[in-house]
Amino acid sequence: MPEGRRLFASLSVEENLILGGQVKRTGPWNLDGIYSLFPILKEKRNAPSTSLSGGQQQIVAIGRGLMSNPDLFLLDELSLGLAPIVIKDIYAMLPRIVGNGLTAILVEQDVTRALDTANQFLCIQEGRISLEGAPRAFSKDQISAAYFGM
Amino acid sequence: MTWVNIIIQGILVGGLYALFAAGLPLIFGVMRLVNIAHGDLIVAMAYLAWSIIYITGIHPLLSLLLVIPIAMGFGYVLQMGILNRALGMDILPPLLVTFGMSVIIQNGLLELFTADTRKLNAGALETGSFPLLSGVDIGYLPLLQFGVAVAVIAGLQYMFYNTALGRAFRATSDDSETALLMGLDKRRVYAWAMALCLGVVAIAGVFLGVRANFDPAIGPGRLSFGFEAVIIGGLGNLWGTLIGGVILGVAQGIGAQIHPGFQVLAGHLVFLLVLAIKPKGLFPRMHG
Amino acid sequence: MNASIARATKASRIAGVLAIILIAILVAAPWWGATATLRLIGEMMVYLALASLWNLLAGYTGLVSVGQQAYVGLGVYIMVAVTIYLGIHPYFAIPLAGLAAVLLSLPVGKLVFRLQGAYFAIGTWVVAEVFRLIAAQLGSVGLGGGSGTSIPTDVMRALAVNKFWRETSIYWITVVLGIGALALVCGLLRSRIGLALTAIRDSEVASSSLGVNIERIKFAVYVAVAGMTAMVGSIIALQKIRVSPDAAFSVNDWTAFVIFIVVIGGIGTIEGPIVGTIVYFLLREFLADLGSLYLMLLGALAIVIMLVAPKGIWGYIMARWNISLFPTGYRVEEKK
Repeated sequence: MPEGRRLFASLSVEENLILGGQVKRTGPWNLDGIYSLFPILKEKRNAPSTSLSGGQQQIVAIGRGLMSNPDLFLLDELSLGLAPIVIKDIYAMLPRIVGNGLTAILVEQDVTRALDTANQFLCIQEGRISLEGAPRAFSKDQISAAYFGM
Repeated sequence: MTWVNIIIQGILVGGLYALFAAGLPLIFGVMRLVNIAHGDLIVAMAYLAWSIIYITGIHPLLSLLLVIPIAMGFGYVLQMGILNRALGMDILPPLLVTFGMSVIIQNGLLELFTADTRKLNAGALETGSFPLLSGVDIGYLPLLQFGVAVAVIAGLQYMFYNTALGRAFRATSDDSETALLMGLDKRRVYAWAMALCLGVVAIAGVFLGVRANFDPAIGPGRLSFGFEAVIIGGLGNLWGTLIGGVILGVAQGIGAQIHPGFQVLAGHLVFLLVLAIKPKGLFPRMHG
Repeated sequence: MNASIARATKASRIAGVLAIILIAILVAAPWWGATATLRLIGEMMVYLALASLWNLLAGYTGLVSVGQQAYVGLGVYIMVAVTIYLGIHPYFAIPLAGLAAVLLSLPVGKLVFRLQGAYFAIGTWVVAEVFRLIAAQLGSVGLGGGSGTSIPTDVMRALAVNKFWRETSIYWITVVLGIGALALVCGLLRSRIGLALTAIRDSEVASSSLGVNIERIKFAVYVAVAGMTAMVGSIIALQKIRVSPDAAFSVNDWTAFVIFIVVIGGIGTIEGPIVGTIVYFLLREFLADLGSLYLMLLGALAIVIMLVAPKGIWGYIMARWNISLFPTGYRVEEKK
């Protein structure tokens, strides 16, 4: 899922999703699956994708990525440009998405949010891993130090 | 009654101009390219049809069965081989490359076929007509031409908005990088677009050849008619292009009535008028 | 370290000296060259002027016009019209042509500027066609209509006392226009307008945010180029004597060849048109017999250059050896 969502403006919600499935890999995700997980998309399936709110567009972007039935799902800046309450809702959905044995890699600026959700984390500074492990194993200060390099 | 006849004939010829034009907004919409050699390609298709007919003796409309696939194949190769290389951030290369192509095609045709005019003979289709009103005869050919134009535009619209290929076109045009994530290689998407465009160009070329005499030099003129139809009708609107073609046809018809030498000039002047008053055309539709 | 900003490079200083020598030789040509030589150099000067102007328009301002023949033809017909009808001396007809073109290019420019990119290009072609078609209808006012007309002999005689001075004066005018166009482009690029153009070329968004009025500058360049192009057109009329709408407004002669010269020589560089003109005339010497094959070759060459070496011959030289013959850039020079 690209940074900034990058939905196709000329396409409707459904068309964006269908395009995600262009690669035609087999797997649990299809249009019905996405719609049952995110009913709001079914409601707006024929709307121009850019007419949706920021949070809804984010969901379309996630759905589009899922349509390709990936083994590894890369989410780039999930919370970028979204209001806090929207971010909360989207993060609440994440467990359902990674349910079927899908591995997700989350690149996030919102460190707290990311740490609350993740099983494992990697802190990368100037191309080097400065800290890694399970979030619960480290204190906030340790993580800050690794993140900011102070 | 003559004026009614002129207007009706103008409407019908507008169909041909819309055929000239139809490929232009498609290519511009998908890859922001305007092919300066577009008109010359139409003429080249007419010559291709002429050659096929010369060898096989088949009816021009039947020759479409051969001309269209050849044209599409050529379009695919042209895009992959040359035009894809010219596309990028800079506006100059595509313009100058297609300009060079225009010169090459015109002179190539001149070398191969000489400057003599040719025509495609469609037999009875050309001369047959039926009376609509008193003083107004509708020729079979102009009517067919108009019908084909409508069909082509309807087909393109349907393709663009209702098929996977059209989705690929729109997505690649919006954001080719993200489209790549979906497995859409823009080079191939562009090549398909050009193949489709040249398929339409093939149809336009055959109808051009049947309707009137053609020679290697008339390419730029045909491009200008297509271009004027697009601008008058409105950018981003294929049906608008049809209307633009009709307006152009009628303007030229009225011009020809005033003075034979005034025909093309009248069309140009109407175009400039629309450009002055409604620069985005009569029915513009910009999306995204 | 003491540094100063210099405009000229060592190469440009040498070139400057050489240029003065070259211009002196050119001016003296009527005495060392045959009439055929004068005619040839005169043609080269015409193409040099047209190429420099088109380069300014397309290479520096980003306005790719395939309709400059509109103004060339306008210049031709102004020369014919004012000398025949108003009895004005041909010398004065030249600046008049320039003025007429400037005035006409104002509404024309307003119209075509509503179009962008390639649509702009086609639009300029349409305008040129309109000019040509109108010129073809002018038979009724004695300007020959479709088949054209000639500049009367008494007008040609008015140029100078005898044939030698006639040829010489026409030739000198072409030299003035050729060198003048180069000087105009060079001077413009050295000025603030030139700085603005380079900024626009590098980034329209950034320069507009800095207050550079892009549209006005582009329009001004378009009008200026139209004016000078028409002046070149008016001298072409004197060179050819016989004029016709198809010849005066010929896309091939005044646009296709010019574009090829600029592209092959090096678009977006001042030296490019010079190199391109020389190459074009060399090619013409050897290949013109091939007729349309020659044109196809030029077209193919232009395409190859655009795809492989977009900056043309001079652009390649400039990149490889870092030379610039015209003092339009800025350099930091150390004071020794």
